[in-house]
Amino acid sequence: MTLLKVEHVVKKFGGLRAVDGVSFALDRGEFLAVVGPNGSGKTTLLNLINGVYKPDEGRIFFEGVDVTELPPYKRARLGMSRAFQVPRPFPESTVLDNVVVGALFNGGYDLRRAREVAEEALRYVGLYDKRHELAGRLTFNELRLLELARALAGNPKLLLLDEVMAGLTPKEIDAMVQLIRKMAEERGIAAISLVEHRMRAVAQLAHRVIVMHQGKIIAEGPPEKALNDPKVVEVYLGRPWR
Amino acid sequence: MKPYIPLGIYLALMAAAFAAPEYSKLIASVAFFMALGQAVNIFVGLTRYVDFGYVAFLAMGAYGVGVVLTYLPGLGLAALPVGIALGVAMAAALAAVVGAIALRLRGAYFAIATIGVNEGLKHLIVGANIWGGGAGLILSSAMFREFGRETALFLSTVGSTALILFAGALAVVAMYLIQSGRAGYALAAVRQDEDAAKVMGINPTKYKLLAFMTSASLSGLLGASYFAVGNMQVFPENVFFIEYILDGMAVMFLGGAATVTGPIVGGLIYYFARDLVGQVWPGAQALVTALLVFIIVVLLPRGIVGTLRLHLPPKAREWLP
Amino acid sequence: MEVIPYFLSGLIIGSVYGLITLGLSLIFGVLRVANVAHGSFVMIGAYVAFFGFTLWGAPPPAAGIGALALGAGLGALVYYVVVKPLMKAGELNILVALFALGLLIAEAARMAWGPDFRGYTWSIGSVSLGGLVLELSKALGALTALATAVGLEVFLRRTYFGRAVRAVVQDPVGAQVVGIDVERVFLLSTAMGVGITTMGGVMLTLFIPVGINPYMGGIYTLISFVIAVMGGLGSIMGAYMAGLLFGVFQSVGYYVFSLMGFAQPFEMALFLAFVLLLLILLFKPTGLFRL
Repeated sequence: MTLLKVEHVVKKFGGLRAVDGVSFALDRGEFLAVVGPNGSGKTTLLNLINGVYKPDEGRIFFEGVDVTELPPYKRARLGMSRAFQVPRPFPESTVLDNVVVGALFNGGYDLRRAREVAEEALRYVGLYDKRHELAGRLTFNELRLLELARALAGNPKLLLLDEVMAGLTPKEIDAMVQLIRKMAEERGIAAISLVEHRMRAVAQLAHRVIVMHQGKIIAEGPPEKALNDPKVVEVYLGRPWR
Repeated sequence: MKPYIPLGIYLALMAAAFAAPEYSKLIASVAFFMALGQAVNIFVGLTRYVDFGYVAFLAMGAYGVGVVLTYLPGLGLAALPVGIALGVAMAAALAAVVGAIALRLRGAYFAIATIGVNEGLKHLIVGANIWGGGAGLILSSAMFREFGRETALFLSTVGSTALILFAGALAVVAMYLIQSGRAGYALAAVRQDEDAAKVMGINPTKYKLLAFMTSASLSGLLGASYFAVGNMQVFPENVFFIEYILDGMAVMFLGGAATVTGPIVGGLIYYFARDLVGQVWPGAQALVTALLVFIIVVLLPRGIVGTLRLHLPPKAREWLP
Repeated sequence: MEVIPYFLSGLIIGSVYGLITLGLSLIFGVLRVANVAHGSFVMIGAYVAFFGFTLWGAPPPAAGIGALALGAGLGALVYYVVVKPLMKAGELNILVALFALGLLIAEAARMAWGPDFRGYTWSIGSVSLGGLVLELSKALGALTALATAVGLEVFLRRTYFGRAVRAVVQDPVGAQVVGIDVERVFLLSTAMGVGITTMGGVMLTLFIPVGINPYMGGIYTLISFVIAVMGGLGSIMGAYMAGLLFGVFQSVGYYVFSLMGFAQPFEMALFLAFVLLLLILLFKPTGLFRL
């Protein structure tokens, strides 16, 4: 069951081809890790998928519908949820209200239902006890969880996770990755997670890995296979792995 | 939130205006600042955008009544609701046009885009000599003719005061409806982080426009009540007077931006502060206004009610929106 | 061709319009702050010229230098009192504070100098040019404006400080990383911006024989923003070129409206300025020129 199909997309910034002819497909409930060093084009790819950028070439299909020309908020309503690399809560709103916004607009629930969905999402990620605090007062790890809860409350079909592990401790990363995988398996929510740091810890729990370099996909497949591809090893270590 | 305290204050003031007509002008002067702050707050407080051409909405309201009374004789008492409706509609239409163009722009650019709205319209009316041009519209004889002398005088005193208070109360209701629904969540998100709001499925322009048009309509009603009905005249130099937007923002910031009770507290303090300055240092009111706004914005950006709310327990906060 | 003198006089006053916009555009480019108190500094410059001339007999060029220094001082003050403390509080607070400051200055001027319209005449002869009798004082004002615009542009391109300014314009965070003292750049840009604006106010008095009064600033805030947006906010030469264009537009517009006869030409030109502002922001928010 294909959820998202990216067909030969190209994005140029001046002379630079930040994303250079990338194609892939994603199934429902699949957890995909996009791995690549800084500047490899993965953030641009994410921005193309959720509509912050429009591609110069290529098309993007979501549930079989061509969404290439849709603005971000319309794609969000179709079921794409985005969590930012640096968490961007609404700091002067409560934790609960932050999540209610996601349920109202991404999820399209009415106000009363949105509150219920938001509370449930907070329980799921383990932030329910802090629901009346102002989001500005949360710790970094809690903000990451808030981002996830906010995305979850939007009843997403696809979660777009921008380096959400950066800056977390190994233990927190482990919990976070388990949570994402649990969401994929229990709720059928597909996820695309960008990974730059602590690549193995994250990617090994993904269903599939795509490795990007200079705007192109250089390897693709199950974690073990993709991460040990000679081309990938070369990109990361500069010479063949011995 | 519970809107009963601010609504109660407006109703009490309205009762006072009817019970003691000799004080109605005083009440009108205080209520004008309250209602202006209240209306400005719906846009500026809820979006954190600033519109320097805002006074044009007051002017549109005033001209609505002025134009109906001057150019459509024979309506009798119906001239009042028709005129007010026209004024509110013109204010809303102006907000729709300016907003559709400028609300797609970010903060500073929006502010720049609005700088010319007020002056531009004034120069159009004066320059093209429409609606009485630079000489304005004098409405007293038309009001005497349409309403009868006694009714006209009553309308221009107690009637105008009641209308101004009605505008203020309506603004409280509008604020309540916006804040407790989807729009309230959307606006809170947009004013804190517009990009994140967009990615979460919120169409920022739509909600900013909603706040803008609501605010403009209320100011249209206020302009109609205060200038046209209350003063029985509409002079371009008066109704487009740029300092009204500063008054509105002074009241709003003094009380607390995005609070509901704030503009009532702010309006009260602001009126008496100005009055006091006028007595000890005549002619310096505008200077003191500007200084006051300046000081509040720099030193007490949450305003009185906003700061107070921070220190209240959640239950009490509900009652002091 | 009756329109030619209008075109030429439009270019001459447009040059000064360009001058009074340079500072606004510089400050916006560097600090991303729209100085809505702008017109009040133009007004201060106008009073410097007026009092300089009537009290001490100082010719406007001398007053211009004085105004530059005074304005720079005021600019530094504005930076320390308004802009810097409010940078964190957000855009709304800065805008409102600056707006209040503008009215504060205007009110203070009214209380100090009265609400009357004032003016002076500085006559140094005239020449006839293409059907236009051009007073040399105006020509001097226009040339000063041109020289300032070119000088500022050269300064920004050639000096270390200028390069620092341009680095901050392009990437404030990056500039900090490479060791540029961003706060100093902010301070000096505000001081220079306001200084040039105040000097522009002096040159403007050569064109408005009796137009000096405390509330004159509002209209020049509007005109300057129209021009700055036309030229692309933040662009120095863009602002100057747009000033020329606006001067011609206003002058020829005046001529056309006076031919039509039904409207008051000066008022209509100002109305069109506002329409122009909205249209440019709607269709070409990056300005008409790319310089």
